[in-house]
Amino acid sequence: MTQKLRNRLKLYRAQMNWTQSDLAIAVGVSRKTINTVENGIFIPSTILALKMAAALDATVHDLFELDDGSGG
Amino acid sequence: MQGFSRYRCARILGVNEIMGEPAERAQRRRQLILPAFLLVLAWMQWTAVETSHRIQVMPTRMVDFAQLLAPMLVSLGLLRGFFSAPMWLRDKQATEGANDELTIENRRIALGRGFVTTVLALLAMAIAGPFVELDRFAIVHVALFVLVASILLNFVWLEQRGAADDDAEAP
Repeated sequence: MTQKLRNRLKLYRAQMNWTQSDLAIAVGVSRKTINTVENGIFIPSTILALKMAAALDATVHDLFELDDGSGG
Repeated sequence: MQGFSRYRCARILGVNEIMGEPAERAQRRRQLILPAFLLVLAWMQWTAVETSHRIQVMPTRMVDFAQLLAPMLVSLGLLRGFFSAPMWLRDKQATEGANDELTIENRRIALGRGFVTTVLALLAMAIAGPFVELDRFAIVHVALFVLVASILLNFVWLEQRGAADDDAEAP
């Protein structure tokens, strides 16, 4: 079974009124990295996921979840 | 960290104060410079192969050695630049920003693909060997060029991912 990583980065960013660049600056990576994570192209390291969660005032589980294609 | 500015947030998380624009500019410059040097390398390798043919019938001169050695040195320089260019003159934060974990992942993928492409090119030349006359020096240069070109072009292509700014259209 192929599992994908779904994320809610965009939603949490919108809640804080942050752009991708703002989040990139907050966690110390390039804006491209945030863009590729948001679009599911790049799976971030645990360290980066934890930093993003801290910056967006959420938990890693809030931001990321496994999508096994079952729709749930 | 609701309500904190991005810079305050960065300080709390212990990340360097950043980069942003300078890092992106450095990444864009790297994407332009590396393929441009491939053209120089291709020309040097063409000259080197011509030289290798000439020295088989004429006495070798110092300039011939230089022409044979130059593509090797440029290849090494390009591969070195693949890991650091063009950040030599940039500050530490910009360099770190332009070499974040996405770039490291892109390098890893590009190196893997470069290796596979080179092995396939060598295999193709081995298969073609009995039918086409290939001199050993040309094979070395083709393999070297395929290695460097496939690594760099793959890297440049991978670095294009995520370049579009999704927030640009937002008010």
